[in-house]
Amino acid sequence: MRSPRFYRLCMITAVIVTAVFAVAALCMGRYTIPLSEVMEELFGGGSDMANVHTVLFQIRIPRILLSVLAGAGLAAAGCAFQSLFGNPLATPDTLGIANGASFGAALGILLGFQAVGVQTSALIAGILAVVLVFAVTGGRRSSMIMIILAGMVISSLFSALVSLVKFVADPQDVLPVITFWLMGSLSSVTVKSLLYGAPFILCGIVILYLLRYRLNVLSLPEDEARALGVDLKLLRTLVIAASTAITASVVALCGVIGWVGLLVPHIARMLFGNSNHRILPASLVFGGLFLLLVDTAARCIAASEIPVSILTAVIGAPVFILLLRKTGGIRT
Amino acid sequence: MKLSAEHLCFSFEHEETVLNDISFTAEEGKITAILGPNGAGKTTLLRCMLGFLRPQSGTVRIGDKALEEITGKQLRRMSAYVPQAKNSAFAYTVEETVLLGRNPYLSLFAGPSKEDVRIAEEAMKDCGVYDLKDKRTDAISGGELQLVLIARALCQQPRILILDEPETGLDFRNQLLVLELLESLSRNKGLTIVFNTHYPDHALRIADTVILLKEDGTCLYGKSSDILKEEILQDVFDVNIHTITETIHGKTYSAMIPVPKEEETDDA
Repeated sequence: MRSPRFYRLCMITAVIVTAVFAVAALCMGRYTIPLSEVMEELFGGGSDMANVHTVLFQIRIPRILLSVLAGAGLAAAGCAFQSLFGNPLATPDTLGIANGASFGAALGILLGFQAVGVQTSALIAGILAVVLVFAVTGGRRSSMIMIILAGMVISSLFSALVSLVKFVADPQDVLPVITFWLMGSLSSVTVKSLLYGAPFILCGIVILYLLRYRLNVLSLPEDEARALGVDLKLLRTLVIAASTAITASVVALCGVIGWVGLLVPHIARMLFGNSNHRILPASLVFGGLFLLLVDTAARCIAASEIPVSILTAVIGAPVFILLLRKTGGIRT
Repeated sequence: MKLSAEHLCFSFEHEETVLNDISFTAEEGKITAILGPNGAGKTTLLRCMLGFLRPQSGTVRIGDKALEEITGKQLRRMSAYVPQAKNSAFAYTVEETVLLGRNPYLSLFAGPSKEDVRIAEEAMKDCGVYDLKDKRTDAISGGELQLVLIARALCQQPRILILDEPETGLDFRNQLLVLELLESLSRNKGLTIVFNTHYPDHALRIADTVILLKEDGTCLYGKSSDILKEEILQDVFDVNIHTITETIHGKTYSAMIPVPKEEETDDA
């Protein structure tokens, strides 16, 4: 087993790298701002150039904050769901939250809502998807496998509804907006939308973080968990509520971002073993760093923005395979 | 602390009776074995004792209290459950697994304290798995895993230990290890132990009392030497049984050998 020292060292390093990179990301972009200007703006009396102020405070800072928050949230939600379902393949979308929220957003765009309206309808539809999953599995005490199956059904139902919205959308102007939005992008974030969405993500993160010691018990077979004195109903409700708040808000703010929820917890497991009291905090830190890197790449690599989901897969898959080969998937 | 049942009846929804008027008392510091053919309801009875299933009538009592009167965490500090050795989706280290036994003592958001770690270490030592503490549970043998799960249950500091076929699927040496561990836990620590088993020999070896479940849901209950007799087992398991008794190094061992019934042998 790798020692607690190795874990602490990795975590501290990751936090420092995230901070350094966040500052670097403030300078980078189509409009490059020298570090001295950034520092002047942040800690000095402000620079004389008005557009530097606008770019920093209206665009880059909200966006960097969102990327760290969304990455951390998605990774933590993925980690929690993998424990909840006792299944390493579970992702934050397993219960259909992402497809539900996508439908809400697509519908909002189709109906010509403003940004906050789209965000709200995405949030509501994402929560609705989870509520539907539990309505389908019904009043009886239902097994986890039933819930997963219901999640898959509801998820594909909403996925079909998204297609329906795209089908009826005007291919000239509305359809491209929906399509691009669904591919995931942090470009549309504003101070206002961040202030509206971030509290949900933060609440979810705090709840999952506090529950990190309980997640190991949660991953055991039901009888064993109950025999260990866990209030399964309460614990499952808390985990699902927190993960739903995170996932629905992230989709509402920046569309569907795949891979983070699956990839990051597994990277953490390869490094630190399976115990969630380490994997959950590690997922938070690595998830934030990962999405910060990916999003910065998304807006800096090419003249026009690359959708984040494409990059998470293109960067994520090889990194994952590399780690898998190097560690054999098991920490020894 | 004793574990008892009075006139316990249980059936699953719309199905025939599994348990019919079961009464027994597992005394403090004694070992009780549950035997019976496949499908006679051994696991169901265990699940009733653990409070996972609610009997249609009758009561399970822990000490003098009815099971329903004891709240969740309180109950799990009195009685602990050892499942059959099986790895779950995520393999934790032995120490992390044993520490899960501290769960009934921790509040929703709390992590284990130094004291909890110390208790876990003691439980691992009692079960002889302390040397494995940093190994993952999917990297140890089935026998070792069973001992780890017993250590996890001990970590709950219970007075009653309920085990589901603890020696099934283990090799000779590990079977002995588990049986000896159970014996020493009851004799030295005064734990009340109830376990399911398929082996009358094992029950004869360590159990003080036996609950023999029959196909019709009723049971025979009594001292193991009174229940585990050839004529009784022949009837319940529907086979002929021969008992062989040997004295080795001054200790008497009994083995029961199942033999097909004569008319079946004639057919063949």
